[in-house]
Amino acid sequence: MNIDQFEDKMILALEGDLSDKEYEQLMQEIEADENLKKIWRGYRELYSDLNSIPQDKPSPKVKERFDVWLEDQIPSTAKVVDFAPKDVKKGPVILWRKWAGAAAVFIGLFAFWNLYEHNRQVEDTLADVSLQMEELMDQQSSTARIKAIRVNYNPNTTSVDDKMIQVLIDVLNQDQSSNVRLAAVETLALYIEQERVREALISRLAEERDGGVKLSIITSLGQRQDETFKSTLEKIVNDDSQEKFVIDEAHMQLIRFNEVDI
Amino acid sequence: MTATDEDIMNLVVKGDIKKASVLFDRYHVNVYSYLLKVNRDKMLAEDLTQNVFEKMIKYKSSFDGKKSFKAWLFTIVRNANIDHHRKRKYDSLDDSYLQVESTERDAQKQLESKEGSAHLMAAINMLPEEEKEILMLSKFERLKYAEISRIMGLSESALKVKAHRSIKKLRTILVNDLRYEY
Repeated sequence: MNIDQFEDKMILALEGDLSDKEYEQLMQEIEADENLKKIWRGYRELYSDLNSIPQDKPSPKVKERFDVWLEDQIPSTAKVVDFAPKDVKKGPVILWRKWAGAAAVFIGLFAFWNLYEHNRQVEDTLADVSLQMEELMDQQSSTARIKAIRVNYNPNTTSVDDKMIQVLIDVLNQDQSSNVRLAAVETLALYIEQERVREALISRLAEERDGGVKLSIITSLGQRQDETFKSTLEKIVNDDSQEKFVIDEAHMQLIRFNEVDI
Repeated sequence: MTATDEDIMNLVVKGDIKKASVLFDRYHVNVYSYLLKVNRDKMLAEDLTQNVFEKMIKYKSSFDGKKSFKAWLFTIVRNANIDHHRKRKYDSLDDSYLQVESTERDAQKQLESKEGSAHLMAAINMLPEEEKEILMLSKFERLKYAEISRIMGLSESALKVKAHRSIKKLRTILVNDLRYEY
């Protein structure tokens, strides 16, 4: 056997692939040769070092991010606040031909009261949600702050109060975590019909450094084709410092404006 | 008695998505560590780790409850990494030059540091990609050759040959190129 073949045998031995007899025979041959002894020691040391290479630990935000994502995958635990008051009473309609006029007046008054009560309850609910959200926004953990934003997230509603919008805009402009800013964009996108929301998103786009957040802002603004957004898109498309996927998305939105040939 | 990975994954397959967090807790360090060693980019390793566990849930129905969960997970890890580099290559051909340049710089940095196992990692990084992968899956993740052969789509015998070759090459690099005593 030459050295190369001995090395193959040594690896087989260290992998546990030699029979007892073969192992014993190899050990005898190694024992009789100083050079083989040195090579054998080297391989043993190499295997030992390979087995003791430490694992690298990720930052805690990896777990945080996965937990938030996982929670979003579980519909039953989704934290969605229903803005519609639950116990709004519907007034009885009394139909009595002889008293039709009086009944019409009564029904009119009742409907007015009902509408007033409904609005009051919606306002109370929104105020509660705003308060809840503001309290949660003070949390140190970005997971808690994302949850705070999710408190306000209900894709089926257009109800919102000014304070809540302002909190979301502040989060978008000030929060250090890109995941939290991303959640703020997603929630603000529900109120894209509001001019101040569109203005805040366009203004943020110029400052934002995170590609994912930029992408989400462009997609959200693209839902409503606003002429003021077009010039921002044009700037992005012509800015080489932007990430490629951001430029691609801006380009796609411009195409939707029917200005660019595909 | 602690539930096995396979038992937990079977619950995830049946719809108990929340149980995925147990598997995440058990394996996210392994996945991250592997991806970091392969890519030497912390941000990328973190993003790909997230991506792997999202895929674990997305493709949960492809899990065969009778086979090893860890081997199945590392199939996802490997595919996610390959997908990422394929897309990146498609995005920018110039990147490959930068990658090589930064790889050499990183290997040099590891050598200069001489801390703990840095010299060994530097030598591993000099191996061809496939051999490096085999070595990491077998020695760091302690997967069986039969499992690695399924992950990499190679026959078990071919894989063993490559694994032995990678060990020999590794020692040659350490002794001849890096002048370490082995």
